[in-house]
Order: sequence, then structure tokens, then C-alpha cells
Amino acid sequence: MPPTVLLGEVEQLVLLAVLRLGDEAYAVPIRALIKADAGVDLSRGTVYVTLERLERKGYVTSWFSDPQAVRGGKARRLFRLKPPGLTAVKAFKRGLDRLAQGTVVGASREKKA
Amino acid sequence: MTIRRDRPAWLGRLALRLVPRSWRETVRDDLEAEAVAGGHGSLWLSLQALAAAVRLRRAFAADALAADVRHGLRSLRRSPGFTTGAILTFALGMGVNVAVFAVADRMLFRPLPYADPGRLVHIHSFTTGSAGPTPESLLPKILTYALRSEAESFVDVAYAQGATARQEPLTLEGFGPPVTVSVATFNLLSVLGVHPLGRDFTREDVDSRAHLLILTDEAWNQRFARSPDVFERSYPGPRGAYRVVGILPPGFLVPSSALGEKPEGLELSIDPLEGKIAAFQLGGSAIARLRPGVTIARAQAEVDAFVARLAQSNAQSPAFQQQAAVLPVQSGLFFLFRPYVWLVVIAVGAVLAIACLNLTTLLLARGRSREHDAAIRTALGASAGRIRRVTLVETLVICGAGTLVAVIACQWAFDTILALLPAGLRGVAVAPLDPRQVGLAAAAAAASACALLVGVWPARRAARTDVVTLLHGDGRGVTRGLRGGATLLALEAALGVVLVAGAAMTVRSFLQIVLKDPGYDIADLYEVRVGHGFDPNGPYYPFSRVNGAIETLQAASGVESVAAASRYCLGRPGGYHDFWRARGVDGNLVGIAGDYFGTTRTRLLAGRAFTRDEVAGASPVAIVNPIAARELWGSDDPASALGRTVETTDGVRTVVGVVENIRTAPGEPPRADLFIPMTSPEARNGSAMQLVVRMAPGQPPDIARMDAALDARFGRQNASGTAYSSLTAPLLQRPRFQAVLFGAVAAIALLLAAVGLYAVAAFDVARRRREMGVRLTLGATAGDLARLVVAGAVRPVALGCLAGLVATWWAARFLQVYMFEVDARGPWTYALVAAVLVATAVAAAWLPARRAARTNPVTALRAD
Repeated sequence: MPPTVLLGEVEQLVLLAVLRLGDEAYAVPIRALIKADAGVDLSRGTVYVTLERLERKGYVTSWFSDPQAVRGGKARRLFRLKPPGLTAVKAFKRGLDRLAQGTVVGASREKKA
Repeated sequence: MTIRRDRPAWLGRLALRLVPRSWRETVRDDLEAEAVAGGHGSLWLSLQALAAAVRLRRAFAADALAADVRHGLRSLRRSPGFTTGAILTFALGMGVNVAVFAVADRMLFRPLPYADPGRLVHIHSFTTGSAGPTPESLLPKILTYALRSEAESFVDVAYAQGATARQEPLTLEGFGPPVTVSVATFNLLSVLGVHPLGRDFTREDVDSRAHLLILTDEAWNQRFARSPDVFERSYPGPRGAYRVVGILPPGFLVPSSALGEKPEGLELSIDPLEGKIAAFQLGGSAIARLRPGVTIARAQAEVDAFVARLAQSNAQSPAFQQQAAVLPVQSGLFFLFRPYVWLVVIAVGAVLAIACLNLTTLLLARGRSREHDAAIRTALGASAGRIRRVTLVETLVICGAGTLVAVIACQWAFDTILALLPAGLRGVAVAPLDPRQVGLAAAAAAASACALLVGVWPARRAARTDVVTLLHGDGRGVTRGLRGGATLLALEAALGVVLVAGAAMTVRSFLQIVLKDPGYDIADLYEVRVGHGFDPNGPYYPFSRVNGAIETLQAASGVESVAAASRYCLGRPGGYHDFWRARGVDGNLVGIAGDYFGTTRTRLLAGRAFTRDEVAGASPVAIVNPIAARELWGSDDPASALGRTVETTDGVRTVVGVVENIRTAPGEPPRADLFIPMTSPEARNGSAMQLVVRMAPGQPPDIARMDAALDARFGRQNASGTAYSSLTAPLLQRPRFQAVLFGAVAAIALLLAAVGLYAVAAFDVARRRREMGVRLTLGATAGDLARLVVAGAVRPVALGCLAGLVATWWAARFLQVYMFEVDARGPWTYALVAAVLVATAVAAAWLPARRAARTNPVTALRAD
């Protein structure tokens, strides 16, 4: 089995949020989604720092969108998962699931499924 | 919708400006959108922007620092030769400092293991001479006794003898190997505020004349595995049965300045402060606890008054002419080493400075050769700060690794370091990696400080890259000279001269001490001390006793010859006698019996020794040495002293012989000696007698048998014996320590200077390769090029030598006091030192000079 790249907890949350949000992934909704679904209230700065580090690692890419079609509308810096980022988060998730198999945590996940 | 303006807009703009540029727009847009959606004001926006800015900047700085550290480590890894050389040369310079920190741990860093040590003081003797205050190793007993009884400044005064090589360890049945202990007063631990496991000594123990011990925790562990059985039994010894009554806490330090050996405990026999002989000297110092509210100054004033009173009422006795100093306990413990502290500080400080200068030179040369890398990094956006940081990281790694190597080397060689230390420091030195060691933190701090000092100049130089010139250059690489390199080399040379001169003088001093003929043959010569057995009220040593003791020992196995003397006169710093004091001269008056000069193998220069009848009849005869003859009659011819008369308290004596000058101890100048028959009243010196015994080569005396034989003839004599060589060995420790210290640091300094010179010369040859090609084309020979390189190395060294010799000349008046029969301003020493430095420069530049001489002009000119 090839070694799984270690991802920090915040990195996992941010990657999953970027994946969920698709083409609307920028800092504000990423933070809101993580708070709503994972119950983790990350500071704005933490989200920015994590996105910066993920971009340096080559897991995400960013670009500026076209300005919003409203008066005074701004261009947003959007983020998308790159293949290495997708691979990393999938592999890590699979690794967690394998590790949890047969345990109370694994059993509850299986039950829910 | 717009953001609610509840604060000035400039506040928000200012906060946003703190956000790193790459995220500024994003953060602004996000915050503005949220502010509008949430109805927040500009104050909210400002605070959120500030929080984001702090978080981003901290992360960016940490990432940049981590990247710079990785870059620094990578670049060091890519140059293993440079890195290893730099670490080792720094380790050399740091090694001596780590050793000093290990020794000075107790002196400087660790609080003493006593209760409220700020209220404890040492009382030391010192005399004031032409060289200023000189610590004395002996303290008049009566002074300490008087202070204990009457002084108001002290709660109590106590005393611990310490432990030196001269003391015989106690041999106790059932105790294992002989144990070295420090005799102490019963109140020592109560003065120190230390509570032993078990119990302390008491006044009643003194009154009952019990023989008691309180062991150190270490001794209890090593000898008895911490078993409580140690308290259960008694241990028969030479003076009676001993009992262990207590165990000292771990880490206890006997508060004595005479700690040549590590004592394994305290011994209480008779109280060392009480007794009949008031002027008797105590080795070391007394320790006292100040009363609340009393300052050291006030205590000093009271002690001065006591000393003056004693001196006045004992004007004839030199023992009372000393002064006493009241010192804080930490500095008092090491009072006897104060004259040497500055020597050590200068020596190790200079070698560390040389190591730092050397490292700076190496880093500057390396920086020059990596200018292109720095130019590329700058062109790609690296700031000057980041380039400086990489250099500082490299310096920190080199200094840290060098210090680690030094610590490990010192730990490995700690036993050797201990053997070289003077007595008194061995007992307190702590190994560098000992868990109790605090000096290690000082070494780490010193390494960090060095890293900053060393790295600043190369870091600034590395950051000042002229990107355009370098990147548009002709690809030669190194073109500019090593500015400042010559200055650094000159400074290294100047410091090196001071150290090498110090080494030359101290080594010569030591050799003078060791090789100088002492006037007697110390090999196989022993001192047997015989106490009691003489009538303390008698006016003189009865011939029957003296001769009987000589005959008894002469019959012992292995004895070649025996003589007697009325006082200690060999193997110790010279004493003094009132006969000479009255004449303003330091000298001895010694009563002798038997074949004294034959036993000691002291040469008779003129005349003869005393006959047996002269000794038996206490005849009015005398034997002098040339110094005495010069003092008494102004004559330098030994033979002219024969037949002269000299008046002593016994009457007029006629000189019948002249013997050579005797140096009683290594490093001591010979004194005026006047020998008289031991049976003369003037020779009387208490109830003890010293027998000088020459044994057959390689055969030590059986003291127990000799004691038994003397006991059988005269009753209890309590004989004890020591080899004179073991008496004099401790006296060689300090001159040897000086010679070893300066020898080691001088060797390190020369090696470091050679490394620095080589690096600069090699750099210079690489830089001037094209120039050398041109010179060869124009007619220069290989020899010319080699001479050019060597001259380039020698020039700064010669300048540095000059400066160093001037500094040494100035310092000579302070160094002279540490020298023995060596002139600290001797011209030959200075010439030798300069020659050594120049020779080092030539040797260091030799390889680069050879490389220069082998320059191929075609290759050199083509390589553009």
C-alpha cells in the first residue's frame, strides 16, 4: 500500500469544503460550510492561511473570477481542488475508514450508511 | 448597500494595509461583502482585517523562516568540507570555554546548597605586599576562636578543614577503602542551615571526645548502598572507634577553600578551634553566619578590630600579622584562586575571539564565492532580510554544532581535565553533561551570542549584492577581493601573539620550577612525624630521645639513612623564624641531628657537618647557606663564612660549614638557612619532631612497623609518614595548570589562525587566477607567484604580530607575578613568538602558493 500523505485536521476540512462548494468555493462560504456541517468555527485568518498552504502544496488552485454583475461588484478569489488534492483527501478518508473498521466509530459509520 | 461608517475609513484602510499584499484584495473583498450582508460597521471591518493580517503574517513569517532554515541547512549539506571545517574550528575555540564553564559551574552559576547563603560569609587570611593583597591559605586559630566567642556580628562561626592530598585518609575496619573526610567543628551544619539525615554533631559529642562521622550521600550510596545499617555499628580506626551519625543531603559542598580532594564526609574529633596552641594555623578559611541586619562591611570592621588587637598583643609572632577578609560565601570558597581567574578569563576569552574571527573570515570567503546564488535569489524576489537570515541560520547551525562537539569532547576528556586542574577546583568541578550542570546553559548562550556576532558582517555583506553587475558579469564568478579579510587576520594574529607569548612564559616557568635543582634529592625521601613523647615543658629535645628515634628507624627494613629536624623545612613553602624576621629577611632556623645533609643529599660547599658530640652537647656551632652568608656578612664566597660568628638567643655560634641553597618547595626561592644542633634550646619547636628518612630506591617505608618500634621504645609516639614528593606534588599543580592552559590555548590559536590564513590565501588564489595567468605571460616565474601568495598572507600577520607584541609588553607587568625566574619582557621570548606566528602564516599559505605556482597561463586566460 503506498504511503498516505498526512493531512492536518483543518486542511481536511478546507479541502472537503472546497470540494463541496464546487465553483463557488471562496473563503467566506468555505468558513460558513465548515461551521454549519462540521461544527468547527475557524477564524478567517486560519482559513486564509490553510488555503495559502494548500495552494503551495499543489492541492488547490486559485483564480480571480469575473467581477460580479452588480454595481460595484468585485472579482472573487475562487479555489478549486487539483487532482493531487483530490487524491490526497480521498486517500486520507479511505485510510481513516479502514482504521475505524471494526471499532465503535467504524460500526456507527457503517450503521449510518 | 454600503458599510456603516461608525469609525473613520482610514482605520479600515490602515488595518488592510497590514495584510500581506497577495491576500489584501481578497481579504478586503470578503470583509466588505460580509460587512454589508451582516450590517457591520467599519470598526468591525478594521478589527477583522487586523486579526486576519496578524494570522497571515505570522504564518508567512514562520513559513519563510522554515524555508530559510531548510535552505541554510541544505547549503551547508552541499559543502561538507567547509561545514566540517567550520564546525571543528569553532568547536576548538568553544572547547576551552565549555571546560571552564564546567569547572566554574559551582563558582558562578549554581546557588550553594545552604540555607539563606546570602547571610553566610567566609573569613580568609591575607597579607599585603608589594604585589597587593595575597590570599593566605592559613588562618590563625585564635582569631577564629575569638570571633566565635566574642564577635557580635556573627550568629556563630564554624570551620571545615577541607581535604587535600596531604591528609591521610581514614582507614576504618569494615568501611571499605580508606575514606577522605574533612575535620569540622560541631556547629558547622547548624551554621550552614543544613539538616542531615540521622543527626548532627553536638557540643556534648565534643565534650565526650567521641569519634563521629557524617557521610556524604554519594559515599553512603557507594560504600553501603544507602543501607541504614551504617548507623548500627562502630568502625575501629587509628584514633579509636568511629560511628556514623548522619548523612548529608545530596549535592552538599564542604564550605572550605582547601578542597583538593572530594571529601566523603565530615569528621568530628576534638574541636579544631579549641586547644592549647593559640597561634596554630588552620588550613583554609572559617565560615560564619551574619546576624540579621548586619552587613558584610560592619562584620569586616569588627574583624579588623579583632585582628588589630591580636596583632598588638602578639607583636613578636608573625602568625598574627596577617589580615582577615570577610567575603560572601560563594566568592570566599574560591578566594585562593582569585589571582588566577583573570588569567583564565583572558586565555579562554582570547581563544573564543580567535575562533569567532576565524569563522567570520571563512563565512566572508564563502559568501564571496556564492555571490551569484545570492544575486539570482534577489532577482527572483528574495528580500535582503531573507538573504541575511540564511547566512545567520548557517552561522547558528555551525556555532550550535561546534558547541555540541565541544561539550561531547569535554565530557569524554573530563577525567583528563580534572587531573590538570589545581587542587581546590577538582572537588567542585562538574562534568558538562552532568544533570546538575548549569554552566551548559551558559555555553549555549555563549554559542548563540557568538553566532550573532560572527554572522552579522557576512550576512550584511551577502545581502548587499549588486544584482545587475553580477548577473551581467563575465561569468568569472569571484572577482572582488575579500574586504576586511586582512583586518580579521591581523586581529587573529595579535590575539595569537598574546596567547603564544603567555604559553612560552608559563611553560618556561614550569620547566624552571621542575628542572631547577632544589638543593636536595627528593626521590625516595620520606618525612616521619613523631608527636608526643617529648616533655612539652622541657627546654630542648633530649639527645637520648633524638638519637634513640634515629637509631630505631635506622634499624627498620629498607632504610638507608635517617636524620632529624626540629621543624618542617622541606616539601613546603618556606617558613620563617624570628631570627631572620628581626633582620627583615625571610629565612629558616632549623635544629638538626644525625647525618641530615647526607640523608637529604644536600651538597656541602665548605667546611663540615655537625659531629655527634656537637649535637649531643648542644655546642655553639652553626651551618649556613650562601644566602645567609650574604645577609649576615655581605659575602658571596661560601668559604669566607667559615669561622665567622653569629649571635642567636642561645649565645654566639661559630660557623663550621656552608651548604648549598635549598628550595624547600617547587617555585619557591631559596631562603636564608641557619642550621644548629637540634638539642639547642633555640631549636625547640613544640613537642613534635620531624625525622627525615631516605629509603632504598623503590622501597616505601612501613610506617606502621616504624610506629610500633617507636612506641615500644618511647611509649605512644603516633608516628605518621609522607613522601616528600607527595608533599611537593600539589605545589606543582598551579604552575602546571598555567602552563597547560596557555599551552593548549596557544596551540588552538595557532591552528585556528592557520585555518583562517589558508582559507583567505586559497580564496585569493582562486580570485586572482586570471591575473596570475597575465603575470606568467609577462615573464613572472612560478616562484614569483608563490612568493606573492605567501607575502599576501604574511603581511597582515606581521602587522598583527606587532600589535600583539605591544599588547604583551603592556600586559607583562601583570603577568610577571605568575612567572618563576622568567622575564615577562625578555626580548628572546618576543622574537620567538613573532617567528612562530610568521612561520605559521608561511606554512598555512604553502598549499595555495603551490597551486598558484602551478597556474597554467593558457587555461587561466581562456577560462572567462
